[in-house]
Amino acid sequence: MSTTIRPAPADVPEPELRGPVVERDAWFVANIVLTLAGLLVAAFLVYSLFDQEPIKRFWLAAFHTTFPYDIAYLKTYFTFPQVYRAVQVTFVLAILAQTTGVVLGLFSALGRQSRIAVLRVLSGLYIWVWRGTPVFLQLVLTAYGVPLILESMDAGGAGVLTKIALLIATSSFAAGYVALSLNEGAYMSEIVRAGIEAIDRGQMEAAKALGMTYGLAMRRIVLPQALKVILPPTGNEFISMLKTTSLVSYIGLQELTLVTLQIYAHNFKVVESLVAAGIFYLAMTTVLSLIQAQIEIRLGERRSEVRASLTDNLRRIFLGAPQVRRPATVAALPPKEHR
Amino acid sequence: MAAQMVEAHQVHKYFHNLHVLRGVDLDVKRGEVVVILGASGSGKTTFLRCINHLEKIDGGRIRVNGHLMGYIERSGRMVEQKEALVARQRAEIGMVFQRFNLFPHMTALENVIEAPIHVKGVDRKAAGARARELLAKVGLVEKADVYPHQLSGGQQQRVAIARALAMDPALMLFDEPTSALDPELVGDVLRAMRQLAEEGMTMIVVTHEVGFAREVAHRAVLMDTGAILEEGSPDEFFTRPQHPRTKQFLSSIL
Ligand SMILES: Nc1ncnc2c1ncn2[C@@H]1O[C@H](COP(=O)(O)OP(=O)(O)OP(=O)(O)O)[C@@H](O)[C@H]1O
Ligand SMILES: [Mg+2]
Repeated sequence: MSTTIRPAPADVPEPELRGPVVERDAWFVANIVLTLAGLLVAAFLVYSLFDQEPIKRFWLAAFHTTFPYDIAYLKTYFTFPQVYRAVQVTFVLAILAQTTGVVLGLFSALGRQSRIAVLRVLSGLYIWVWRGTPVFLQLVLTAYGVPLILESMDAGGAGVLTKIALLIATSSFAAGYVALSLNEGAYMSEIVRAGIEAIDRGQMEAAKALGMTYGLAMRRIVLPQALKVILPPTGNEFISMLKTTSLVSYIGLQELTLVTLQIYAHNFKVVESLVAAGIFYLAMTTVLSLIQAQIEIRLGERRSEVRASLTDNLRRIFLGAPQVRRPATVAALPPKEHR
Repeated sequence: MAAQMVEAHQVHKYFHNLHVLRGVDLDVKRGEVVVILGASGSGKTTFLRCINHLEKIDGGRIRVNGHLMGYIERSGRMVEQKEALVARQRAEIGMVFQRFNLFPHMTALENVIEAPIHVKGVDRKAAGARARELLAKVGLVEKADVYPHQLSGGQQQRVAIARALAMDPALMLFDEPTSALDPELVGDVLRAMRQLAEEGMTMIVVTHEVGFAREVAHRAVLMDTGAILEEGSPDEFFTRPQHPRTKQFLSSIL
């Protein structure tokens, strides 16, 4: 034994930082609700400001024309039932495509480091092609090209391929779902890979030394830890996905963008309708950002930060996330490319 | 039951062009405690990792408990075993790492019951009871529900020992189990290992803790540039080393 004299050993455990789960969940919800209420109040203030005479007088003085926009129309827009149906479609599509994308990303990430060469090549090809081509092109090709291809492969028959072709050709939701899922899978693959690589190799080794197979060790030891690294960028992906669904309007899905185009084709309120749709998208992404921020803070596990205040949340939304201590591995993720 | 727990015969290992193990021969009897010493880079870790097939070998044979480790011999050629079979072989060999490698997302108790439940299929209750016994044995029952980051290095290493023991291994491998620890935390870990040795566990321990080696080990060996250069009873080894390299090495650590 050494004879070194040192201060008391680091035997004292850190104080328990986690509060009871219930309390944390209550905060989680309360925080979001409070922030949303704050935003609504702010929105109402801005709205009533715009509805005021001063704005109209200012416009007249500045541009020598009458204020041409119907601000009160915003209220009308938000009463159209088709808008809410469209929002529903948008949300459901985004959730389905994102979920499938996560699953595809997981398998292609594992495939890329597989011992089986064919799997490695297939996964690599998939990621290369789907990340390297525009998602819009992929969407249109899926909706209009794939049915043709499938049909020609299934000469004259009523086989499975023809049925799939028919489904994709007749349902813009199905086509959009397939295209967005596949595109998302390629991006998620990189995120999952970075998550797995962020976990110390000693974890896999310790698991194997205990008699676990690769699959079991991945499932029980590596992936649960990688989740902390994977979750934040996946939140960003979902927010991005919600906006990307607007492309599916091109192939005729009645989602928020297409419905808005139809509305202004009808009432000619082009600017007002588009701005209203923008506000709706903004509201959705804001809610999601809030939830994501809460999850990220909870992953950081400092209880004091869980009680992020209303002003913290607003600052986060308008000025970006504060420079909180995050695992270095999150920062090491490759920057997301433009789509 | 083979009399020898480990038979390593002319084990060779390359990392690309680097010839790391150059014909290691080492037999370890059932119940024997062997301490491996050697300079940094001499291949001690690599050899331990070959024993439980965390590394493939490029020549020679390693038998554990009478069975070829990680390979089957087919008409004179060594063919690597299927993964599931290697895993089953590894389940009988406990390993303790220099950097503990506890699972940070699990409590101490969960670390210990993980493999018995998911590898051996022991039911949760029985595994839990056994885990508490083992944690008590290494002096940490009261830490059962604590996460690794809330434990000191010495405590973490003792949980790691309990975790390995939970699989009821026939052989335990220790790779410098105390060298990442503050000196005052070394004693508790060595105590747990000594107790294990006294219970008759077969152990291969890479360590530079001379006191432990002299009191607990049955045999000490010196590894040098990928081969075993000298071996003997700890008494002989530490007081009358034969080879100049051994003398030189011992004078550097004593
Ligand atoms: N995965 C690897 N790839 C390439 N070279 C490696 C790898 N692992 C070990 N080596 C090399 O093999 C040699 C032996 O390493 P090993 O870790 O077995 O030594 P050691 O005796 O355990 O040393 P230490 O006392 O520093 O732990 C070293 O030169 C090391 O750089
Ligand atoms: Mg080593």
